[in-house]
Amino acid sequence: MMHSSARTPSAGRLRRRSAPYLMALGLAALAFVLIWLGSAPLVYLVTIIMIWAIATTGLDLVFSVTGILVLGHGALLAAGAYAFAILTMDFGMAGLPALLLACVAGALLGALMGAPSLRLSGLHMALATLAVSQIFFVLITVKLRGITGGTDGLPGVPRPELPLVDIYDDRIFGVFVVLMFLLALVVYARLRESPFGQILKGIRQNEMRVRQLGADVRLYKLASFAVSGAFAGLAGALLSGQSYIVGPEIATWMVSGELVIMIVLGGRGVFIGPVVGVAIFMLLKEVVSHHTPYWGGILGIVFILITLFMPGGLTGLFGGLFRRPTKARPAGEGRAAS
Amino acid sequence: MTATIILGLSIAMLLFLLTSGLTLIFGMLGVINFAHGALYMLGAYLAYQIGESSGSFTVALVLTPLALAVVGFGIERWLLRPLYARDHVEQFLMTFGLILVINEVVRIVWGFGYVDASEPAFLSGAVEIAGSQIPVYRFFLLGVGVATGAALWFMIDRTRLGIVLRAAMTHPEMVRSLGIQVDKVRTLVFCIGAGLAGLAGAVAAPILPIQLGMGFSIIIDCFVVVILGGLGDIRGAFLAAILLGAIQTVGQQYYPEWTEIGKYVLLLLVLMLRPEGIFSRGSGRLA
Amino acid sequence: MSHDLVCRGVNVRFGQFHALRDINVSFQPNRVTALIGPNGAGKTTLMNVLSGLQKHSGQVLLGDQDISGLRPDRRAGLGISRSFQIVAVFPDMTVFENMRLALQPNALAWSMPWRSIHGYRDLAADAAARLETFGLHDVADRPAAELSHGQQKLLELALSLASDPKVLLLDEPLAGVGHGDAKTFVQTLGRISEGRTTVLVEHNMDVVLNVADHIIVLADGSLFAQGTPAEIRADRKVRDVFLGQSA
Repeated sequence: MMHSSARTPSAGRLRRRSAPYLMALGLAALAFVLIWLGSAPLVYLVTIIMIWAIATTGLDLVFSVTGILVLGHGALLAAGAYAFAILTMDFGMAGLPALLLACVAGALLGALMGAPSLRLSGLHMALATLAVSQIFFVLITVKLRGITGGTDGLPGVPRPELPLVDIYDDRIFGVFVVLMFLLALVVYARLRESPFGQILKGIRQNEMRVRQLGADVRLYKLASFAVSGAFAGLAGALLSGQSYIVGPEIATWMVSGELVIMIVLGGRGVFIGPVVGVAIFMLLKEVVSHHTPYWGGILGIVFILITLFMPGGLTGLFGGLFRRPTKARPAGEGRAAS
Repeated sequence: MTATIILGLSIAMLLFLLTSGLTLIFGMLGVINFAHGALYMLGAYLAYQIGESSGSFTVALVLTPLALAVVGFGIERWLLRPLYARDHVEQFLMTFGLILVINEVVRIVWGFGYVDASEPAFLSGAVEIAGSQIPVYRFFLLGVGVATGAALWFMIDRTRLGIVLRAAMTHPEMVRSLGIQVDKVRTLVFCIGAGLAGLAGAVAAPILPIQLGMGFSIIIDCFVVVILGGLGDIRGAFLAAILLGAIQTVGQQYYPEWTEIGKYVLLLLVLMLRPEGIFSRGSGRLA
Repeated sequence: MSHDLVCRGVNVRFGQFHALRDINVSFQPNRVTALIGPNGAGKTTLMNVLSGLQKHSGQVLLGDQDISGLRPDRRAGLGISRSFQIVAVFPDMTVFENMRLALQPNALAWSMPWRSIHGYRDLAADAAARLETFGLHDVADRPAAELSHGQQKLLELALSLASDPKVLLLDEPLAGVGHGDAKTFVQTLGRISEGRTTVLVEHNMDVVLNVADHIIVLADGSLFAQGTPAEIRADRKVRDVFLGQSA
């Protein structure tokens, strides 16, 4: 079986590998259309979904890919939100650099939150993330009241100004969010198929083996937390710009819990699972709350039913449609000419 | 000073009551019942209602834990049992959903505002000790806490049921092969745990504001106690509750702004340095 | 000389239980040293000590270097690799992906987060080639969880060789493997132990006596006997220690 030169991958393989990117593009295009042509409430809904999808996509890296349950992710959104608000309002920084620094803030707190994973796993780790997020919550509502506005938060958060457009037009802001969403998904897709992503997957499936193979698992876990924090920081900043206000509610464990639920709703481990989960969650909330004031209970029943009967989430219902394992080339293919 | 100690201890007992159920459930079922705070809240509301309707605190005190035990039966039998083999996330999801449902039920029945239950006449009033007025009810709380702790310890350490419980916790297959139905034991434990949550709610009703958020605020404290005391360890929970009650009381007096943070930092430290708990005596010990 | 693995005064205690008592042994390069003994003798504990998963007192040396405190990933960097008694592969990944991942830490100095794994053609080719030498290329695209036990054991072996280690610690590579597969294994074992320091824990005496150059017998946490296969086979005390346990 001698081949004279490395072959390019077959068309089928290329199609499968580009699937996540095509899906991201498709979703972004759909969102764009809805925002450009939709009514004001629809624009709002889609924008919010996009923003939360950025957050859940980041969480997915730690939760589904690396396999670590996080119960404190909301604090990472809050870190970005407050960073953005304080930098723009108190320091007069321009919107885009402030967005970037919001990502950094999220990444830093993310790394801090991930630090216990160096020693802990499972439920203990989950509780540790909860503890870190609670500390952060108390800090922003009590100790650092002066800069954070305490439980009232900080009203008057601006949006990131862009040249030539009026970012305060909700449609324009929505398009900006779609672009950020697309960026987030593309980065995530790239991470998943990178060597870095492979190690993270390995850590979930057999951490001891990864260690034995020579990779410093602790660094990888920390890195995944930091990356997820960057995504969350961006989402938090966008949220505060969207509503012109930042408050401590997003740092509570209820929100952190909802983030996890959204991922499970959509389907763990599947590329667009986090996005689908957010969409379902938000849509449910919207639709049900219009018909009854008891939407909280109905949502709860939905979670219970899904946990019992649909552990794979919604995308799990469609089974193999979304999973494409890499195929090996037959031995010999890919070797350079000898 | 004495007043502070007694008040602190009484809060610690309340915490212990609630946490004992939580730690039992975790020790036996391996499930961290995030909905435990919601059950506590339900207990408080129920106790208020029963008290109002029957006019008797004692009736409420007796019926509420029983009612919660029934609720617990339903939850364990149909919602939790299918999930034992699955991972923590799914159990977390389930209990999260339960919180939402229980919240909604309470909201439907009792509305959004908070209700006020009063102390029963025979437990009202105050006693003077060392120059301060200490409400009689606080002593009652102390008594209930100690009595419950003793009863639990007795049950686990001295009765046959306790032996079965301890064995089933670490070697369920072995126990099953001896002909004992582990499933029924698990259900019983969850019922006891839920009943304890109801008891905690019932005794808390007269002194704490009964409102929708009451479960949320106390559940985090319960986690701290559970971890400090060791998962599944009743004696550990007792000691840890006292420690936390002390921290809370001393903290409120001298460093009010740092108490909250201090609790979580303590939780983190214990998780990192001694995850089996400060007061536990190794894994698998219930009492 | 830098390949030999030495234990000096290694002790391991689990609470009251003294699992390993004052172990002084050396595992020489270019030889297969088998570690045998009745159940509970401490073989796996010693393996864990050698691979960095078990805290101990005393020293473990690789050549002149004291590696006692080093974690598994650092030991891997020094050329020590281990296979696990309970198969430790990545169950949800395909066999190919398993192999490729095993090669990653050695082949790529940094796991770039922005390059696609598919861009590393040589890595893929290397993985495919190695699978072929182990006879696993037919199942390359199946999830590892779907493999038969014998195939998983082979994959396990292949993964432990990914880093071309100087020291190979094999913990019961034949456990649960059927008779037919066992013969292939023995041949494979012979092949892969060339040029390496190989430590083999194995219960199958036929295999051990065939494959090993040197045998170390552990009993009750202590070094009971050591010698060539012929010497060990003839040793009455060794037979007694095994017979006593199997009663």
